[in-house]
Parts: sequence; structure tokens; C-alpha cells
Amino acid sequence: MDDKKFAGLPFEQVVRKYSDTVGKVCLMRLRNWADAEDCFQNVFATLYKKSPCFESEEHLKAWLIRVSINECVSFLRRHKPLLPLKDAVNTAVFENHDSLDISWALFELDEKYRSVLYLYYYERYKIDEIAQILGKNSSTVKTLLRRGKEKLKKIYGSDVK
Amino acid sequence: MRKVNFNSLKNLQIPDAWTKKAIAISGNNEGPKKTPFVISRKVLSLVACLVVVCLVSSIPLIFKINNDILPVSTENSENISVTVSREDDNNPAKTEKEHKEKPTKEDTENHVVIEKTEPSELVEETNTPSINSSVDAKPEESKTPTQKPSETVPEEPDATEPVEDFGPSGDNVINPDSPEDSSDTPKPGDCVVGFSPSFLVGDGKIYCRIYDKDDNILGNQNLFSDEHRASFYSGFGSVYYYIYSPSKVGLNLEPGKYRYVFYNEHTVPICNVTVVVE
Repeated sequence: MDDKKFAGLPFEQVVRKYSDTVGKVCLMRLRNWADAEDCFQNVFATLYKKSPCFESEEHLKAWLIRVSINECVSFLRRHKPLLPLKDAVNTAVFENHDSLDISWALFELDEKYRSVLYLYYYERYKIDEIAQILGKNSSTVKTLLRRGKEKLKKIYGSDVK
Repeated sequence: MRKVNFNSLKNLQIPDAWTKKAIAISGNNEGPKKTPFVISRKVLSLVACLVVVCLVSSIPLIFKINNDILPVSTENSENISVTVSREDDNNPAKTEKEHKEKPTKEDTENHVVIEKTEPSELVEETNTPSINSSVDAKPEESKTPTQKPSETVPEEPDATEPVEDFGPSGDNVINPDSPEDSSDTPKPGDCVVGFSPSFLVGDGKIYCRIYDKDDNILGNQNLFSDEHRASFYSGFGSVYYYIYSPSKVGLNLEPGKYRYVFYNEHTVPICNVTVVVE
């Protein structure tokens, strides 16, 4: 095994540490386990192959998220979704319709809102950081965040905070 | 208001198999999954267009190269006005009057050529221009400055040989029976012959302009005047030969070097001949 380092971490450690993040971003985008696995493998293969230099672990994490999103976009371009949206949501990840747990609701949103909401609420990124990861304008991210929250509210009702 | 959370998402576990497979990448040096390389139609059509354009644009270049290889004038060159070597050398009447000489191509210096050779005599000589010469050639006729004089003698037209089929304009046809051709004595600089591929001829009108050593135009400045009209006829292998006699339009050339440039009716120079009049 090569002794490649990524932000000071060996490859195996990077995989173990960020598999969760990369996997969930792929799931968030593709809403499908099988497809998410393909992209998941591709992301780490790209990391190993290209071996970019990272200034810090945050830089590494942002890079992984960005590449995951790009892989998912490329995947969707190459492969037409086999299931219609409604069936994908029904058969996908979550079956828990807990009124407080809105994880599954994210899957009902458009993918542009999903990514922003996931990175904001789950990964706890700031708006500027999200803008940098997604390659968008900060004001665009703010708008997407606001509209995504409104759509979530519609799903859960206005009494949801 | 109720609080929302992402507990399910937080609790979602990525399978261990994924992680192990990813770690194994470093051992296998596997790259990302490769998608098949597909050449889009647009790329293919673009490449095909480029190839066709390159081929089409290289065709005139090939002809130009071939034309350049043929004796076309440059200044100190081996300009050759080509002539005629007859195919039929068995005719004793003709062999008395002319014999082939080594072409002036060998001369790197100035040379001239040709005189009155009838179009029917001009034949398949494309590569080895030869000069008709005759014992009876007059001294004032054009000669090469070297020891090989190229002299010709006006010949009687051969009525037995039919004139070859000429290009589109019939009035340029040189009629071997034409009285003026048979009786006139060639003057210095007359009957200069050039040749070029037939596709340069265009609609068949050929003009010749004479430049002196200082690049001054002799005669009428208007290229398309009758004074500059040249004759031409088709030869072997899609080559056309052009003849111009300045004395017929009243241009008497002093001894010196002149450049005869044949143009088609689109003002495209198609042939260059350097002539030295002595």
C-alpha cells in the first residue's frame, strides 16, 4: 500500500473518517443505495488517483463533498433514473415518518434544495462555505436555503420550527 | 412550535463493505470506474469536415507544386519555352528543316526559344522541352547566349496534319494553313511558347504581357486588349501550350531580357517565360 498522505492523514484513515459524509451526500443526491455506492467508490478512487494537496482537513472534507456532488451529477447524466421520483422516495432510505424527524422529507425536495439543506443543517456548514463547495454565489445559497425551508414547512405544516 | 431534526439521517449507517472496498483501492490502484469512450456525432462530423477541407485545399497546392516544377520563369532561370518536337521523325521533309537539340533546360543561363513552330508540331513535350533549330536560321533570331544556339526556321505548314482540337475559343486556334503564319519571318522574341495545366486556362482566353528587365510593361497597358491576345492549344496530358508573337502587334524587341507572362481572362498568371533577345 502506498504511503500517500492527504492533509497529513493516510488514505485508510481518510476513508474511515469521511465515508459517512461522502456516503450521505451521495445518498442525498441519488436517493438510491446502489447508485450511491458506485459514486462513493469513485470519489475515493479519484482522491487516491489525483492525490491533490490539501491545506487542512476542512479543505479535504470540502473537496470530498464537492467531488461527491460532481460524481452524482455525472452519474445522473449518464444514467437515466430507473424509478420515477415518487417510487424512489417510497422505496428509498427512510420509512420513519416521525413528525419531528424530517430526514426523509429532504428526499422529497428538489436536489438543489437538498444539498444546501443537508450541508447547512446536517454538516453545519456556513453559507459562504456551502457556496464555495457548490460553486455558487452566496446569495444564491441563501435563496435556496430559504426556499428549501419553506418547502419543508409545507410538508410538515407551519407549526414546525 | 415543534423542533425538527435529522435524527434518521444522522443514524443512517454507511455499510462497512463500502468502506473496505474504498480502502482496498489503495492496494489495487484502481482508478475510478471508467465510462466507455463515446465519440459524439458532433465530434465525428467536425473531424470529417476538417479532413475534407484539408483534402480540398491541398489539391490546388499539388497542382501549384507540379506547375512550379515545370519550367516557369524566374529570373535567372531555366525558362523554357517549349516546343515541339515532332512525333513523327520519319518524314524526311521535315527532318531536313529541323532537328531536335538538347533542351535549354540544361542551360542555367538565359535562353530563349522558339520560333515559329506550328501547333500541330507541338506535341507531347512536357518535360523535355526542345528547341527546333535549323541550319538556315537567321542570326537575328533569338539565341541562347551559350554555345548552343537555338534557332528555328519558319516552316511550311503541313496540310496533311490536321490541327488539333483546341480549347473553348476557336478564334485562338492556330491554323496551319493560315497564310500569315507561313509567310512571316519570325522576329526576335516571336513565337514564345509557354505551357501549364489546362485547368488554369479557364474560359479559353489567354493574354500575354511582356515585361522588360525593369519590369516595365511593353505595349498596351490594358492586358485585355487584342494586342496582348495569345494563342493556345491543347497538348498531351491536359497541358495547354500558349504562343505569343509580339512582332505581329507591332512590338519589336530590342536585344535584352524580357519576361513573357501569360494570363487567363481572370488576370491569373498561368505561365512565365523568360526570353533573351540577342
